[in-house]
Amino acid sequence: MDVDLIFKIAAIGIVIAVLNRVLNQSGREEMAMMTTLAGVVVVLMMIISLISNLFNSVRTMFHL
Amino acid sequence: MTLKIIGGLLVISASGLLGLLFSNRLSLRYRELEKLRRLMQMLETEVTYGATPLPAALCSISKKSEGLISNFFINISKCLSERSFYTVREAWNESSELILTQSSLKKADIELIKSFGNILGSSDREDQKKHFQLFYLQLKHQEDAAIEEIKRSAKMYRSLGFLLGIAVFVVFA
Amino acid sequence: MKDDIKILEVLEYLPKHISAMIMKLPEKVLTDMEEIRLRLTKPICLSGSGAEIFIAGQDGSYLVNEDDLKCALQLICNYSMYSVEEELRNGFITINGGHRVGLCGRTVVDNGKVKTLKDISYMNFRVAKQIIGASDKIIEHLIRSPDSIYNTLIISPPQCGKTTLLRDLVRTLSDGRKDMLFKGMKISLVDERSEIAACSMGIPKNDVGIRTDVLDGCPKAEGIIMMIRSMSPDIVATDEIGRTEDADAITAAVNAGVNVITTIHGSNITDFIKKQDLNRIQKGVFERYVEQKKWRRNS
Repeated sequence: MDVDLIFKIAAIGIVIAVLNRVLNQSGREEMAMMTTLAGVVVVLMMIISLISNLFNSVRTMFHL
Repeated sequence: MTLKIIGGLLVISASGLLGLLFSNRLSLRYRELEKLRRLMQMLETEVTYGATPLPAALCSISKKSEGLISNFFINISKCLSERSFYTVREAWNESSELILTQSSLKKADIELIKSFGNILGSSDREDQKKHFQLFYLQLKHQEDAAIEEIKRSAKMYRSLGFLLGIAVFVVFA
Repeated sequence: MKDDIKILEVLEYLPKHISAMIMKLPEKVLTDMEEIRLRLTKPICLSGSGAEIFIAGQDGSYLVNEDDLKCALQLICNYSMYSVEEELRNGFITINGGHRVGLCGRTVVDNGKVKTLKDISYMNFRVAKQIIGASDKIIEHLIRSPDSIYNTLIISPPQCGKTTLLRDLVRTLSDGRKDMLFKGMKISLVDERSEIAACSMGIPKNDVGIRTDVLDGCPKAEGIIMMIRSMSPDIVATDEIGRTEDADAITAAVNAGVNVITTIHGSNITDFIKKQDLNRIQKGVFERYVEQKKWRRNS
């Protein structure tokens, strides 16, 4: 868990937000929605290992 | 660390330039359509007022301008003078395929130009004048559509290019 | 050979496969050829010196089809129908070299006048030939004094070579004849159909003399008046007069002290007298008449 990851996620969030605005403004709303979805997927993929760790630790903690 | 930054800059600038390229293509299309209209107006004057035969008329208007559209006309003029084809339409189409496909014009624009080649030189002055007027109207539609598209998409392509570059950089570095 | 070159000029205006067929003919035939006729769904006909030849294709005669005529038309009008409107209205187009291509088809009539021709199905390519010396026999009768001639009218049926005769006459009178002590005179040539001088880009293809000024493509009546005012000629020459305006212009020329040489369709002088439009000039203008009969070209 390093700070880098948080910054990365934040940066992606900002980029997605701007992309969304630009695409909406030029009328391509479907594209905007797709990029938002893609952004969410990318972020999820970035932290998937962390999430699996979280679930493992919760499992071990509660089975203790 | 610096390698990362250099790599990142490369990716961002590459992607940004790509976006600029797309954006420019739109404005280039508009400018070419405008140039086409001006040259066609000159051709109309030569045809309806001067009754100049096509090879000479096309040659003289192409001398007044330069670039792709000008080359298009020179090519047709040369084909007709050398009598390589039997009709204007064939020379016109061949030249369109050869030269216009390399321009920023869209398929619809090229089809419009090709259709004009069917009637050029095959009727009297009044009729030719009418066809020219029709062509201008259709060309205006295309020009207006081009402007619309520029307003809509030029900025978008530019931003898209840079933002995607940044996103890739952030995700992979 | 100069004559040969004339044929090639005409063949350039025919579709390639047809001109290839014609080129296969022996040279003697090509030099004698005077007319090439294209008729829709009929064989190609060449004629000259009284002989007629039909071109054969692979099996039997080659029949002219619509595409051939369309191609030829495009070539003749230089791909620009709009530039030959006036000539279409008159039924013939003059091509490079002074050759006349007669056209026949369906006329479009507007208010009783022929507006244009369409669906052209018959074409007649007439090869123009310059014959130097054609006027030698008659020139002594036309010269009045070392610096003036008699006003002359050449009367002839079509295709007898009156244009050739006129051309040679103009050339001789312009250059002068040392043996007759005739010094050349300034001639203004009004070449309405670009046949006499066959100007191309302003340069006459045919030799019309060193003292000749050519007005190319101008209607005769206006042309004669213009030339008298601007070029101060001794002689005005033009081809095929027929309308009242032409007669008026000629009268004006004669009144201005300028000699006139011209031609007209007809078989003899009575034909000329009968023409009503020209009654202005029937009396007293022309002092010499040259009648031509249909003649066989001698070698």
